[in-house]
Amino acid sequence: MMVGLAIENAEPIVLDSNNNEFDGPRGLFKIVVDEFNGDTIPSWHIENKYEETSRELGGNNCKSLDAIVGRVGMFTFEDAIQQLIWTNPTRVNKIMQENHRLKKELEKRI
Amino acid sequence: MENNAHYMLPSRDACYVDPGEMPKFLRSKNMPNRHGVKRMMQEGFMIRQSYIESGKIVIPAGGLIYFENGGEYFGPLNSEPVSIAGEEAVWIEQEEAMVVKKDFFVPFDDRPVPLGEDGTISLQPFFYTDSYFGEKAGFLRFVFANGHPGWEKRIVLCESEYGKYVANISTGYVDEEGMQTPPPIQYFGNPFDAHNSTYIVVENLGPKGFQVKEAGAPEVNWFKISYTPPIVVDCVGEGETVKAGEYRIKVISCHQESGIVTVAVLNTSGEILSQKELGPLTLETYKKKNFIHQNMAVRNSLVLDYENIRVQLDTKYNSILGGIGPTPLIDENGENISVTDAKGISTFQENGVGLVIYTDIEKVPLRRPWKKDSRFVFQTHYT
Repeated sequence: MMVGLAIENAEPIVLDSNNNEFDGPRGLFKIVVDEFNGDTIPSWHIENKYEETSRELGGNNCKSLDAIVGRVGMFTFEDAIQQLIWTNPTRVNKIMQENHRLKKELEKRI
Repeated sequence: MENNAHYMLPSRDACYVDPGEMPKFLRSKNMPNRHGVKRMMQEGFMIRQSYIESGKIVIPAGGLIYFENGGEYFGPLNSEPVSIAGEEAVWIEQEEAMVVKKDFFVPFDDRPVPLGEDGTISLQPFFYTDSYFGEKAGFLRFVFANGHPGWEKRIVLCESEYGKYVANISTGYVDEEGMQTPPPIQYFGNPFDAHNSTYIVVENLGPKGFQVKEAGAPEVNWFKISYTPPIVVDCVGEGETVKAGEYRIKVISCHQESGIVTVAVLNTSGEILSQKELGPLTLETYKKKNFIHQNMAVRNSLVLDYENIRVQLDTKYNSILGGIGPTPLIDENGENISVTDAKGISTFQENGVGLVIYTDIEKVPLRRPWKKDSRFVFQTHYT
């Protein structure tokens, strides 16, 4: 019947440029808004307790913090992932590979 | 009440973080259960329905949702591994229920209608064909609080002589509304079959929506976990005691033939605090009830609960039969043997019985503030 557990926030989370961090349950992950100008979120990222940091998730057109982080289960995430326009997994993988290749080339030239 | 993100998915321009970017957090791990069978454990989270309003970023209630996928499904009797926000725990028990709602209207183009309190499984119209030779057909869809559209149910009502007259619709199955425990329709099997334990009685349907007479779906009320690994004792003879934290567990009587054991929880000075007859657990139990860990009545007959401690008969497990259920047995060489060949290899030894003791159990209700951090509530990932 149940395939997993979910933990969700009970109250709305309100963030702005002063109050720009939110700790997840048990400090497992943290949402950090680096830059916010009132209309868009040019820069935000995710950290976790294993000291890993995500890539830059914001942008000049970024108007929400909506995100899909990881791929848990076969159901919910698949539904959400399938309808993504810009950052669907294949594109993200391609971008990551392209970045990796460019970095290597840069290193060679230097 | 309506100002939350339940039943919704992230917007289409949401960003996606690949497990490769944060491998320690997002990559799946393999964790063994008590029998040594490995389960995939995976974590991740989603932010949905967030928006910017008057110079502030708002994530509505339920908008930040952490997911965990562990051994929950495989059942309480097997000491399955789970992760509670990054901390490893042992899955012990869940109380299953059926949530029933009567006489309500499910409109098109609106929020799904939860069958119980907000956050339980809900119904949403999905499709409707206009009356065609007196036949009305439509789909209703169950939607989970996490946004996943779970199962569809096809509804056909007829006004012709061939079909079911609207006036002759049954009055339903369950007398009362709300959470029914134990569930009137118990489900066994894999999660894809869970919709077999749902039902919908539709009175009428039209382009505006569905008038439902009664609907029911599986739900969970609470679950129990422990952050302490269980104490597994292979053989406890009659009259012997085992130390478990501040308690002592005593086997008062043990009948191998009938598979019935009487155990008691004692305090340190030897007083009996609680006593229960466990069983019967024989090969017949495994044969008849294949997935015994999914049957609330069977698993309650195999355990003694006292405050934050649980004593359980050491049920066996076979990974051959779909990997699910403590069905037949593993012999001394560690090889699987079929039920019919299994004789003498069971929970019962020649002069005693195998017990599993869980200590420091925590009972966590779903959809209520978490005791350890009241900013959060628990939900099921997939009912």
